[in-house]
Amino acid sequence: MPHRYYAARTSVIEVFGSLRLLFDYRGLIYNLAIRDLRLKYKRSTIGVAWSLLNPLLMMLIYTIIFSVFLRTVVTPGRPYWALVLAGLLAWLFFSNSVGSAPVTFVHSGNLVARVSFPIESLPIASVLANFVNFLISLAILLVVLAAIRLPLGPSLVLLPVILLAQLAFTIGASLLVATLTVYLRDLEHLIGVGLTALFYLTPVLYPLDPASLPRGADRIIPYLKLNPLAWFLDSYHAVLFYGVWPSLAQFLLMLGAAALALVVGYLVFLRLRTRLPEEV
Amino acid sequence: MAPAIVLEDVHKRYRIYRERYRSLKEIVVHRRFGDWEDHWALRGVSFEVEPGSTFGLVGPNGAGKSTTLKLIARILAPDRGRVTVRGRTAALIELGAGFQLEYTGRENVYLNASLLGLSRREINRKLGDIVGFAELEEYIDAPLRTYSSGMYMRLGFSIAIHLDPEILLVDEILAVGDEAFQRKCLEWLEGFQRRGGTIVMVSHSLGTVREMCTRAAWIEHGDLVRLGPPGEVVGAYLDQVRESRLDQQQERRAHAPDRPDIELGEVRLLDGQGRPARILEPGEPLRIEIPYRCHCRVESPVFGVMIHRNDGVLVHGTNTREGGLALDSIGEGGVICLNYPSLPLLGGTYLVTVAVAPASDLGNPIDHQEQRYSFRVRDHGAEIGVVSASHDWRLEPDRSPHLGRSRV
Repeated sequence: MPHRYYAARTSVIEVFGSLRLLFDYRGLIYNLAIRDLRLKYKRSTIGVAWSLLNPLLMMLIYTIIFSVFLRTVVTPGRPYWALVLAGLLAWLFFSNSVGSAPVTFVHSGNLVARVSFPIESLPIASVLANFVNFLISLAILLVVLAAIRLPLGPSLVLLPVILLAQLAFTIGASLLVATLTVYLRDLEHLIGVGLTALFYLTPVLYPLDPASLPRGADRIIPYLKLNPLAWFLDSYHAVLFYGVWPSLAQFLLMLGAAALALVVGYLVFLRLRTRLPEEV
Repeated sequence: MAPAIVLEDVHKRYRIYRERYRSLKEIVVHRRFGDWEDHWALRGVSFEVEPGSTFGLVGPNGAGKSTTLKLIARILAPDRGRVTVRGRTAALIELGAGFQLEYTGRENVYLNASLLGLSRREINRKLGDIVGFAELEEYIDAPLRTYSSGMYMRLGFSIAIHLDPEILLVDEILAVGDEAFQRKCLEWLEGFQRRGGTIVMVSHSLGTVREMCTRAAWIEHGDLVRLGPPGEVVGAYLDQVRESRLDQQQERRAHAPDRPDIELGEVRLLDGQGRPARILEPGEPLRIEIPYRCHCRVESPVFGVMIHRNDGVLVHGTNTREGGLALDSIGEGGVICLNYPSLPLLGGTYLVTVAVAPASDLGNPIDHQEQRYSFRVRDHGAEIGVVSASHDWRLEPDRSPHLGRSRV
């Protein structure tokens, strides 16, 4: 017989109880994610193709700007567009998820305030819907990379680990943002601006490799490496573009960041959950 | 057996915001999230609900009954204290919350039932039952925006009861659908009780609480006032309501700027034999006597009487002007009588209001006594409704030969 508490303070028992409840509601998370995906594509005529076309168009623009006009990034022996595409797909998963996180509780206010269910399902399902998109486009990218015979190495086996780590990181960040936005409405706009800045500060369009970058970049690279997202993007580039193993230290940092984000996001959510139904 | 629900010293506080700061600038400037006042909706409420029992919550509006229900449903969390619930819980609180108008009924069943905790496999298995109980087989693939509000509620109710709950939370039962469906819901609830289900209900219908519950709690201003057998709790609550209502009336009288120009005395309700009419048979005569005193001269006053059934239905209203009784000068005092030679009412409790007003402004009475007197009409169960309309049934030969064959 399920035995559930609801107490004023967050206790260890409650953390585990909440996690178990969330597991019981996996069917809901699935349904919500499907709903998200369907709402996204229902009204557009070419449907799912949009989620592929968007990164392709961006890739085209960035490739023209940075490797034709500006010639800032050089990747000898490998096509620059493949680096851009690998980075963009991973980045878009993160930024679409975190960018839409602020509204996940606020826009479902009637549900949050009126129905008893693990409300963290809402941001989690939204991230999962984006993740499914990401996986589809990633599969197509892999086919294309195979078709152009880009030499990739055995490090490709790490791809699932990197994907799961980024998923955990993104869920943690989205949960945090979704919760805080209930109390701080203009976070929605701040997140938009912040993501634009972060896009250029994260090695999406360029590798963290001094040899590929203009002179003087090597002085900035150590600072760029302080950004946890850089660890993820660098790993994607290593596995999907250069075909090498990512550095061990950075890989471990990445896993640590993923775990930390998940724990912090969930604990902050649990701490502030009490008033959420009244504040949305 | 361990209790199904335990509330231990539960407190719930709402913030009533006078001003709320939600942008970064405001929060930085004011260094706080807003300007609010704490409102304690519950202050240290404790009780237990035994498995298989039906527990009723009574009290005035805003007492904290619905908050209690929402805490048990885990929609809200307590600010102090602890709520423990053992068993699968379904809340008939916000039926159809979370329905998507653009989705079909079927898609909404999936989404809503999974919100309430059913797995996909369970929903697949129960879909037929859910749709069948809601009587929506024909419409289940139509978008929800084409549903009537009755259909909407029926679907919500049907989903909730198909969660196979052990504990059911009910707020103001069953304003669901038409009367036939309401009866079906009540029957389902009775079956649920017989099968050993636990029910916690909030109701303003004290009769329902008395009939259905095994225990009751009276909550007022966030405090648990009384806990015990429903008859006792409801009785105590009613006494207090009556007292405070009389207090208010007396206070109003005491605080009235001066005594009314015409003062109404103690009204008498009499039956055909001139005895006080407490219980009448349908169709019996009723006489209402309204004594009055005039303290100064009033030009053509109008006396009025209204009879309400105790659920608020206005059954009959009349006044001396409509009735053709001219009262140009009424002297210092007297008695106004209203005679019903036969009062065609069916079983129920009825409340009498009397008033006197100037002819020029009937809406602004000089003196009145609202629903202060009551009488009952015995219920014989033969007819239903409010009025005992005289009628007869007969079988007649068919005189229009085309009627039977015509097609529409």
